[in-house]
Amino acid sequence: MSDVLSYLSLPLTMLAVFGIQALSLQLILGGAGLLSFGHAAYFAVGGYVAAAVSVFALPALGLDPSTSPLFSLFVAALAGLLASGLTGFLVALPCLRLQGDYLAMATLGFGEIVVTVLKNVDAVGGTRGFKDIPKLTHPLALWLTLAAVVVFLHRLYASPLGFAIRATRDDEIASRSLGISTNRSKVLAFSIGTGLSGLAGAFHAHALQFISPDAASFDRSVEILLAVVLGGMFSLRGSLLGAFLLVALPEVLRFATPAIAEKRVLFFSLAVILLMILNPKGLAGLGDRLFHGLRRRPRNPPGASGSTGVPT
Amino acid sequence: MIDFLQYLLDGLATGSVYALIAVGYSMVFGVLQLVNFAHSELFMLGAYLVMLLFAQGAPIWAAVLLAGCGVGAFAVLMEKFAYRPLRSSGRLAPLITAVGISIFLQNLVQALFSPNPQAYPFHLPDGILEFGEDILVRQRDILIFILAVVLTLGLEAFVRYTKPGKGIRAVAIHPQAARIVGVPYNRIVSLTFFIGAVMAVVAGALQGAATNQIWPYMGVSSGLKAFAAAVLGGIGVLPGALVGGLALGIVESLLVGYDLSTFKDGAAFLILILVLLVRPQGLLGKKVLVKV
Repeated sequence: MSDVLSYLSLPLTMLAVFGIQALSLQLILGGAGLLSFGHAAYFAVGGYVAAAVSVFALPALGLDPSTSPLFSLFVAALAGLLASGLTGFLVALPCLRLQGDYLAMATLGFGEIVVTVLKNVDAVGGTRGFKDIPKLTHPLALWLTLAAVVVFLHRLYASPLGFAIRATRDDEIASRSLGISTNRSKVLAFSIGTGLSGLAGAFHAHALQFISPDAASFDRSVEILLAVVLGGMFSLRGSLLGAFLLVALPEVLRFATPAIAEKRVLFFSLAVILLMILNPKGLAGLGDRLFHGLRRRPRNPPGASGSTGVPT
Repeated sequence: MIDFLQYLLDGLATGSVYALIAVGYSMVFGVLQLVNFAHSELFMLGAYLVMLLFAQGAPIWAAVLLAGCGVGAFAVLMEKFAYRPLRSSGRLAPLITAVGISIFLQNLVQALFSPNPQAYPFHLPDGILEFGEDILVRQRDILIFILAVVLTLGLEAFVRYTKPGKGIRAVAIHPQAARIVGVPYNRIVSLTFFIGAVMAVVAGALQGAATNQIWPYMGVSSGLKAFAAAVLGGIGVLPGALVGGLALGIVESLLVGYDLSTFKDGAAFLILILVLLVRPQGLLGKKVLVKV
């Protein structure tokens, strides 16, 4: 039994970290409708800054992270959150003037720049990565944080700011004519989302005791994007479902017959393609379809404008 | 100054390969407003297929032609089964299937061959030409550069003056209007994917011959940079892909020359962002007004 638990502890940690990250992108992508192709960059910024705090800053202040792990984790995670949120804010100010696809390209570019910069900073390990970070992440603290993020985003969507963010997504010009500061809602959504991604990075770095420049790479950004879109980008539970699927699916395939286990990435990618073609609105959309189909006919005829369903 | 010119010439070959890949991103985006993230894997697939055919004893032109048709057909099928069903599902859904295909192809080639780089059997003439006192240029670099320019400008002429080419432009300008006047929309989209794939195959073979090695993940970094090149030059504009590709190739070569090679990979994207902020439509792109 303890073997099972110890085997599961890493996937479970990854799941919670990935869940926070997927939720953070959900706010930007589904909530604000901003295409971000470089979301992993903020994860890395948060991870590196948090690690630098627990490795360099705290001991310099005379505080040994191993004697007060929870407090140190709190300080480091807070630093990661603020640093990545601030980075997101600074990226958002100029870049959010760009429309749709161009924004996607600019964010992608920024992600690659972060990788290059991290590779060139020797103090945090350069290309070898940041090693020997103290293990501070407690599973309970991590899962409670995930729960807190869910509650926070739920409240945010119900707040005036949340409505402004979604209105801006649905129709920017109409929102502006109603007196909504669309620029403010976009910048805030982007900054909050990138900040939360940095929070995930901080927990990740202090769970694995290691973070490398690859954490900011395009591959990682694509993984988060995959989780959010596959699960359903217009709801929090959709994004969580996607994160769960992306962590669980390769683990499950590992236990399949050897022929499949060996080539599990092949099967994984095929599953991604099929799931997307069969559920273009994500798996959460599938659940809603089944649910509504049983209870009543959908209120909106399919194909109506804004047919994205009721967003969270 | 001599150094500068030398580095500049060194960048031409890399830039030409970027340009040939960028053409595919650019055309597909022009027609469907889709970033075909699997395009970089067509480049990789092309390099492998040309290698296989060449090793079977086919002359190089036949190997490239056959591989072009094969990968082109694959691209057409890919669009038909993985992108077309998702056309009405927003921008992100086809993007995810593109990523899925990309991961699939990388791992398929890795399973069929090996994850390790393989030596390329085909080589270009590697004589060296001397200009003046100190400037040396490899013959193969000149060959690659000329090929890229001829192919890109030839494609531009095709798009401008032939009937299918005009169809591509019509669909890019206004899909519905093009359909109303009888342009076979789906066939034009297929043609676009086919042409992009052929260009990527040529680029793959050139890359293999120039660097003498290919590996399953070779599309990842070249692809991202080619994509940046397409945006830089003006996405949807073919000469733009050429200008963007060459610009990035030269900048990278200059950075390597002046001992800044560790910043090489980020430079392309820094330039991309700066250009986007000043000129979102790219260097050669035309500004599109959004109507309310």
